[in-house]
Amino acid sequence: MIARVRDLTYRYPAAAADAAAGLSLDVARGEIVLVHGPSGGGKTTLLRALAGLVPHFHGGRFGGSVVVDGLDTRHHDVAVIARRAGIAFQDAESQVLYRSVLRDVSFGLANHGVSRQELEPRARAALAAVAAGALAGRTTDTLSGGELQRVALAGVLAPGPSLLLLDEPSAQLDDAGASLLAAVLRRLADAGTAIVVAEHRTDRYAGVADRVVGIGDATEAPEWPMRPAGTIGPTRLELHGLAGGRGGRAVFAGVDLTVGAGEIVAIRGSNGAGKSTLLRLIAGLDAPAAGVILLEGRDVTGAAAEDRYPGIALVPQDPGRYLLCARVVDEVRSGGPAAEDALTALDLDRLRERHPRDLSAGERERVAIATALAADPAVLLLDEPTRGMDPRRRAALAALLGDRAAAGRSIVVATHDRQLIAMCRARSVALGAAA
Amino acid sequence: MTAAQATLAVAGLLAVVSLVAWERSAGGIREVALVATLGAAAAAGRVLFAAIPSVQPVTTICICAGLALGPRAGAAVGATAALVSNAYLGQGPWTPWQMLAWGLAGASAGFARRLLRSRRALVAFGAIWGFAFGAIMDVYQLATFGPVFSVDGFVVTHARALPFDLAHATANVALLAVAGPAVVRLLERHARRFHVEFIPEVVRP
Repeated sequence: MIARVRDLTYRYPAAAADAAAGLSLDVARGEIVLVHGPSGGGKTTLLRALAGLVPHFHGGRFGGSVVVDGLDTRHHDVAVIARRAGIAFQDAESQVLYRSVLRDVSFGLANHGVSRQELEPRARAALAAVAAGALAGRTTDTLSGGELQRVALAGVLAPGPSLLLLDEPSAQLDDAGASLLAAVLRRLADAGTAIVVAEHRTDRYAGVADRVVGIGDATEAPEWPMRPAGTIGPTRLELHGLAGGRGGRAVFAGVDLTVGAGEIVAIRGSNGAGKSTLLRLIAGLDAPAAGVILLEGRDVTGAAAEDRYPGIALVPQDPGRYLLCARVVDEVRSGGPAAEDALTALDLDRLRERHPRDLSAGERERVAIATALAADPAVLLLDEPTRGMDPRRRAALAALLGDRAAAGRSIVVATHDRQLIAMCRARSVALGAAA
Repeated sequence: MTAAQATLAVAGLLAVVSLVAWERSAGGIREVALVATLGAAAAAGRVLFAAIPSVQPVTTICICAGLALGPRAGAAVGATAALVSNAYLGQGPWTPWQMLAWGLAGASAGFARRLLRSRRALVAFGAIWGFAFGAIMDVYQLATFGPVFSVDGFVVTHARALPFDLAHATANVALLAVAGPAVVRLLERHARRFHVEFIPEVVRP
């Protein structure tokens, strides 16, 4: 047994309820355990406890025991536990430290005392293992969310931990990336690594997981309700010959797109194809290298983001970074006048007094969507909105987007989530060589 | 031994003793990391405002740190900020004195935390430290450059330094009024992580 969790009960500092209550789990060497459960149900807390971050980094109230490779985490430092257990966080953005990809992947190795000569070859090998060998020469600010997730994963894999903890590792990966990840994990497990994966999209690991464990009130995945087909009104948003890049690197060119009132458009494409960049151009956060953006026939290409808002509102890929207020209710009110409706629509009434940073990733995503909806934008842009959301929440989001579309709003969503696309009856548009 | 040497030795000793005491205390790596970050931020702010005499955010940051994290951490932030910023602005016999003065600002805020809950009290505390900091540095000035180390000499020196102390106090008041409570809340939120409570195991017979 590489890891043994017994009656884990844990409450974050100043939280009103336990994040984990009486959890027990055994993980054997060479085993892949898939953990699923609702948003905010304790998946992330379980992984943090296995890494020793709960309670040593997060503080709080800790009961029960977690033993990793014979070490009781209550009595050992995170630094000691980190030699056995590697954790990849849900938001890769917070895990990547350096500008150079190679240097970032080497960071964990260097902390494990790997010699200087060995650093680069081992970092390259780790990148190759997650099919990111081509990213070795890049800087991290030019990477897309999915690429960043692969780099973070390579950094965790590089030192060869005996217990690998992954928090929604495929949330931002395209289908090719996700099946490759599953294959990589199986290979590692066959070589003796124990792997715990927290994931909402269990279908992506169907063939490779040895065991599936539900925690929290693991509700059954609902039927996938399809929204009724709506009528599409006059053209609201037009893109002509749009070209853009990230961090000075050209990503796409010649993108044409027309979105009508009441229409939902899904932008698909492999990691790094430029989905996020395209949304940022539409929202006015970046200037396009070429092309024109028309909003209701008006040329807004030169307009600043604040002049396009609230006509166009963007929920970015990593919304946790952009939540500024100390209470959820203040954050949503900062978005616009329809805050109360938005809070109710996203089922946030229960969380209104909480600090956004104390929420789970899926809950934060809902806060960000509510904040954008509070302005009732004519064009709503969503970047990977189902990140961290359980199946019930994803179905609810699809229904909500359907309602907005029925009310004549236009929605553009960048996602890898085929079920979301199906539920929304979104028109699917491929960017670049689509996966 | 002259007054200058004696007071310098005392100030240096106090600064070193308090830093050593802090390093050996039970705060752990997370407190060291937070204090180092705050000290560096304060030092950077001091260098940024170096062109305006006496106007800097160090005092404010020390007070907020002491208030949120306790006297020990407040003192350490003050001492660190002085030492680090003087690496840019110039080290000298004034360094231990500045370490001591800012350390005291942070520590006193920690000791007086019950009195400083309101924004008004916090702002007043900042104003007092504008002059108190000056008074401590006046002692250094007088002991080192003279001409005489006496109460009368102190009064004259302090009076002549009034414009600078006023500028310092004004900067403290402005910064604390605008950002004080928010910074304190932020640090307190972070400091909650320093405490772990273990639920005792129930031993079944």
